[in-house]
Amino acid sequence: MEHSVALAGNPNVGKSTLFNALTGLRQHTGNWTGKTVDPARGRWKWESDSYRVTDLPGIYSLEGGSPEERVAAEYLERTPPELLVVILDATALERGLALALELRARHPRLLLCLNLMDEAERLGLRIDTEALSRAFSAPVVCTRADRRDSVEMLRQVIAVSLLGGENSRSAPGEKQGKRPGDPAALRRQAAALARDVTLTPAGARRDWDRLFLGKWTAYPLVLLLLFFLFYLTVRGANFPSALLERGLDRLGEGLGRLLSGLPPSLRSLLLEGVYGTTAKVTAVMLPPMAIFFPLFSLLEEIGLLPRVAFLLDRPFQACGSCGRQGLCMCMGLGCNAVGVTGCRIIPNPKERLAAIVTNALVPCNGRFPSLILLAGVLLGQDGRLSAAAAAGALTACMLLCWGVTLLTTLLLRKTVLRGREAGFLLELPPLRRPQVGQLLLRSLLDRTLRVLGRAAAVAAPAGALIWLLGHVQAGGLPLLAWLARKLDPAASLLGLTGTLLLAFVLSFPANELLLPLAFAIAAAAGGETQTLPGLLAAGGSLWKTGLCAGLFTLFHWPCSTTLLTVRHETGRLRWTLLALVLPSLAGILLCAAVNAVL
Amino acid sequence: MEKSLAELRPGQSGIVMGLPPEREDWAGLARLGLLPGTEIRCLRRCPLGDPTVYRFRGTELALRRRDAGRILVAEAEADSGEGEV
Repeated sequence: MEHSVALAGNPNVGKSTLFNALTGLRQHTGNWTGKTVDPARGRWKWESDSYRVTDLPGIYSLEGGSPEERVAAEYLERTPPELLVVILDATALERGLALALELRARHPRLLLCLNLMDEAERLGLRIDTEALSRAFSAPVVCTRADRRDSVEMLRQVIAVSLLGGENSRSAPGEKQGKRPGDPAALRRQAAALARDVTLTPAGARRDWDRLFLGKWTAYPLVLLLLFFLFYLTVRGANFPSALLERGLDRLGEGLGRLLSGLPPSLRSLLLEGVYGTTAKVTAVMLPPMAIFFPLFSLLEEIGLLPRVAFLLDRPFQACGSCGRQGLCMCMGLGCNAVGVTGCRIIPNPKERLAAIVTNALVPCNGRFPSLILLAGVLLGQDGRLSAAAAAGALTACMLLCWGVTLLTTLLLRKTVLRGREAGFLLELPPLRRPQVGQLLLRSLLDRTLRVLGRAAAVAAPAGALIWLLGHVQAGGLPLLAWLARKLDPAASLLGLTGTLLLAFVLSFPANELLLPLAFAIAAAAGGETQTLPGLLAAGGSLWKTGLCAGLFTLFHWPCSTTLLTVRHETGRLRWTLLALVLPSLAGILLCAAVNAVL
Repeated sequence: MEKSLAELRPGQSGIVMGLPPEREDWAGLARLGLLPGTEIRCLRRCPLGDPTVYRFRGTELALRRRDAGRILVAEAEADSGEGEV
């Protein structure tokens, strides 16, 4: 038999984490409001029955009118589940109860799940679950974030609640089916109930925000965090990257023997084109991503990102935007397409548009490996000191990106996106102790492998195309070399070489392809420039070309996926074009300036 | 004594008396439980002076001075046990 279950609750109560644990799915979680907008679906089996579960977006009420609330209300209206599991943060009971009371009036069968009981225990909070159960005439189950058997228990309680009949819908004296109209009355009821069922109130949390948001500590800490994030990434990635490259080379040799029966040109296409490019992209991308993503997820889980948004609000406000744009920029660090979609958390339409079209000014993980390699070439590759220098350079890159984003946003808000300042509300969720082991594994498996899979899926056909372009002749040269030569004059204005500029143009489908492409073009031209320093030195000066290549990596046209996402989110070609032009223009201006000065 | 929320200093508390008319792009203060009669406490200002973190009903919320200026509060007992000035 199949049952339908839905999970509802306030934002930040650990709903998505429970959903993942229940279903074994890996929906991405994060400790900030507005993470889950569309309901996610999954299923699990318990004994002979199967359970279909929907994870509703986090809401405070059904009638607030925000996108999340509309989605949730519509879902419950149209496809009411057999059992509605209301997940409450045990340490913020009153808020959760207000929603639970509202849901009880609409839904016949509830199950209350008091989550984060481990945190409640640490704070000395004790709750009378039996009294709570009586008040709702619904079962109550306690779950903890740090214990796996919690989930098994939740499954069991869900199964048992579905066996029983509907719980009596309302406490005596209440009218059934009537929507509680007055939010103030509902709040008062929730506050009274929370007081009644609390046996021992929570002690004070340790006030970490004194440190994270403190007058003298906040900004240095943000910079330090960013620096260490990059330092660990740069330092940790070198060795496995080289190891991986050697391993993949050996695999390529084996593959070559396996394909020895094929005609030589087809064999070369498969081996040098498809396999070679994919292997290079993997070797360059995997190690930094496998370090950067889990570390970033850690910051996210602890709840530091909204605090960064809070700290950045003032400068953004001065430029006609808000701190939430800082959050979207952080998401863009992972992938600009994700950052663009993430701009949905900005409620004001004009501020949202400005954030969307400027998102690609932040380098995504497809561009990070190139930046790390460039920094390595310019600042030395080995040792703690050069890794620190590279990390410092990357931190400086981030500050530059932030500055350019602010400036561009200001320009937009003074011209095409003029409008009044919008209100700004930002919830700061309690800082959470992360489940490190679980989190690292999930982040590695989920984000890293998915992004890598996408990159490889693009790299394989692109590799074939590059191979073809390298072998087709034009004007007595391979087509790639001919194109690169044609681009040389334009490139020299930007302090680049034709080879690099062509690589930027051709990596439009995916930024990860930039360096593999540059090498392929150089190879087609038959030069002795098979190393990165060689590629850069071909521009005349290693430093100037390296600096310009770095700047152009930070600021140039977004990849095709990002542009398609901008088109999808804004619905207008005009904004898509602006998203293309703005970062390109920034890159051209900066590179031309560096070229003119150095 | 009534004053605006923006006038509360870190460590001071107040009771909400009046709220601004809901603005569309303001994701709804009432939804978060900020209603007349709610006790609200000013926790800390951003080192740059704006915005400010407030706590009410177990929620911590950052508001800009401009927005907080539209919310009327009656000052509760003065204390300075928490937050920094």
